Amino acid sequence: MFKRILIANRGEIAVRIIRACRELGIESIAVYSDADRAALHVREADHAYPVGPAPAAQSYLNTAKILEAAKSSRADAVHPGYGFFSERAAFARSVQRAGLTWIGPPPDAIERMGDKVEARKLMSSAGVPVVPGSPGTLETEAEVAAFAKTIGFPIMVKAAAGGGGKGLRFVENAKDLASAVRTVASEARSSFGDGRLYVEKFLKQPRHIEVQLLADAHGNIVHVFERECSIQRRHQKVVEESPSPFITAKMRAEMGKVAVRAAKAVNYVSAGTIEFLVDAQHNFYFLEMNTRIQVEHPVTELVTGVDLVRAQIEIAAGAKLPFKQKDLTQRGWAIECRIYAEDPAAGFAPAPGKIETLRFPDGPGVRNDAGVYAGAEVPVFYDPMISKLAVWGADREQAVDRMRRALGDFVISGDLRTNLDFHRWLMTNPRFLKGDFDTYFIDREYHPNENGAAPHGAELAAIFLAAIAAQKNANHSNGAGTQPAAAPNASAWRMIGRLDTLRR
Amino acid sequence: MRYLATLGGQEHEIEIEELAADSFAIRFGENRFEADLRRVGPGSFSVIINNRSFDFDVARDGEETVVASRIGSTRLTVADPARRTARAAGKRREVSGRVEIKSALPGRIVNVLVAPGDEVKAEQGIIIVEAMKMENEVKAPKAGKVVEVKVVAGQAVEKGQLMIVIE
Repeated sequence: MFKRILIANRGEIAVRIIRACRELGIESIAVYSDADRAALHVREADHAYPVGPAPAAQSYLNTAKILEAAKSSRADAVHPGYGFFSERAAFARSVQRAGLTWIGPPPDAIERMGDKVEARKLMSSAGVPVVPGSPGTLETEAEVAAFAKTIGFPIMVKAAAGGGGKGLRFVENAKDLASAVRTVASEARSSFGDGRLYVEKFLKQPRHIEVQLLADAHGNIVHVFERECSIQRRHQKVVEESPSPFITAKMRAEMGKVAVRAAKAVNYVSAGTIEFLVDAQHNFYFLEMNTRIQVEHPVTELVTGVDLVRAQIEIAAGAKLPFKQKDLTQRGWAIECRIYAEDPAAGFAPAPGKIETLRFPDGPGVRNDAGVYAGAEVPVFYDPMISKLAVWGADREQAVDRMRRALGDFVISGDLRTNLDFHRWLMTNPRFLKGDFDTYFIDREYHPNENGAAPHGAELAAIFLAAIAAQKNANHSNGAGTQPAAAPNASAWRMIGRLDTLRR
Repeated sequence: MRYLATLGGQEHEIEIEELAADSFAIRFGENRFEADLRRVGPGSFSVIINNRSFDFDVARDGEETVVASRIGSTRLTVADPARRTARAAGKRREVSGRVEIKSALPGRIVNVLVAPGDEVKAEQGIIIVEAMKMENEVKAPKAGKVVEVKVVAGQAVEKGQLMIVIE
């Protein structure tokens, strides 16, 4: 087993990996940018190395600096988490060339799955159904337009090097095509350094359902069931659950089998995920493979009892999978809500800032994977995730009830906004409760600026009183220059009384 | 003491009277409630009205006060009537023919499509900002002349940062 693992990441996933290391008796090495000196992952790790300025390109994507940190710290392996270097084959190779173990799939598998057009071809020839679309890459707007005519609108225009919800546009009709092609190509060039495009037919009422895989280096591979990830905004997931309320046992087995076949086609090792689009008629199509640990891995862990991050580390150290397919079962139901510093009323735009008050929910069936603490800053430079709140229940109804309760217990305030109210809305939405949704659910159903049931009566009176008391307290502390201590049970009113005296 | 609260576009005149230590009467519209108020943390308040227990965390967001409970958060502004009048007057002064284009999100400038002196039409694309992993074209909110360009391509911008001024 490894002695020291360097974690080339930040935020909650770095903390998650540090926890796995600690449980395995492995020393953890954090890296941090200038913006993250006081971040939670730095505080939690055994060792910490600065790797450059705040922008990711100069720090968390700085190969030389990270390898230097690995060398100075005498790390024997590197875990990339998700995002950043996790799906960059070149970095994985550099790690291996430096004599370190890469905790992830073979670089060759990353590369073959990373080119979305090549991956589609490969999957087709392996007998895995793919979304109907262009057989190869398309270069010009004219080529895209010509191909679109053959399959008919609406279509999705996607970057060949894209993935994870980046570099794609929905195109309703021919007149929107030109601008979509331009922006996707431009995004693709700036984000992936590769402007090639491809086109997929748009499936109506699509669901996004993915299958978790685990493979060791000895030829053993299992699927660890599915995750339902259809609740998305901007093509990015915000709520995930396992099982999916949409699929049958027969379909689950079939999707698992196909996912295993897909991974075998690239000699996959480590944890990975096959993403499928599922249409209203229950047909499923290969979308892409994520060759890394996923953000939403906790829901799988909660229903199967498999520790996926620990498994990644053990597999990288050469261990055989400790179970076979028949040993794995889904027990109960798990749901995860991604808590982001973003403003649902402004199209879910990032709204990061400093956290002042923070109280995480706990109690039965609650798991919270956080990368922040009270007093911490959610920096503007990275993904504005605060935490992943996950719950387990005996069935979907109990899991939803628990999530609603846990969301109520979640308190966060400060110079930022969060999507907590969105999640609270979702957990009471009749359609969501029935399991009736697709990837366009949020766009269609969520109208944050339409006022719902406004508080009234005693509740409104209580809100007024608390708001006025808080404002008076704040004015008092600013005006008199003394910060009132957080005295429990302090009289709010005496504070107000004193303020009034000062004013007069 | 009297206050004016604005909540969901509606104004409420509120009167609060101290009855005893921690105990208040709150009047607004036809309503009158007696409340027991305790401050239980820097921004945390426990309120009991007719044996109903409310637990709030209160924070400021610019002009607004955000009162968060387990059900959700309520945004409102609170002022005593004298101060409210002063603020309303201040707001009126800001209005002029000058439009400041500020970044709605933290992001990076991909391209600036106009230069000082350019005449722009309403809805004309003037700047491309990459944010939320996507490129977004910012359009001119009105026709006019570009008088200032405060950003260059490649630059990072913060939320609310001034980018372009049109007159």
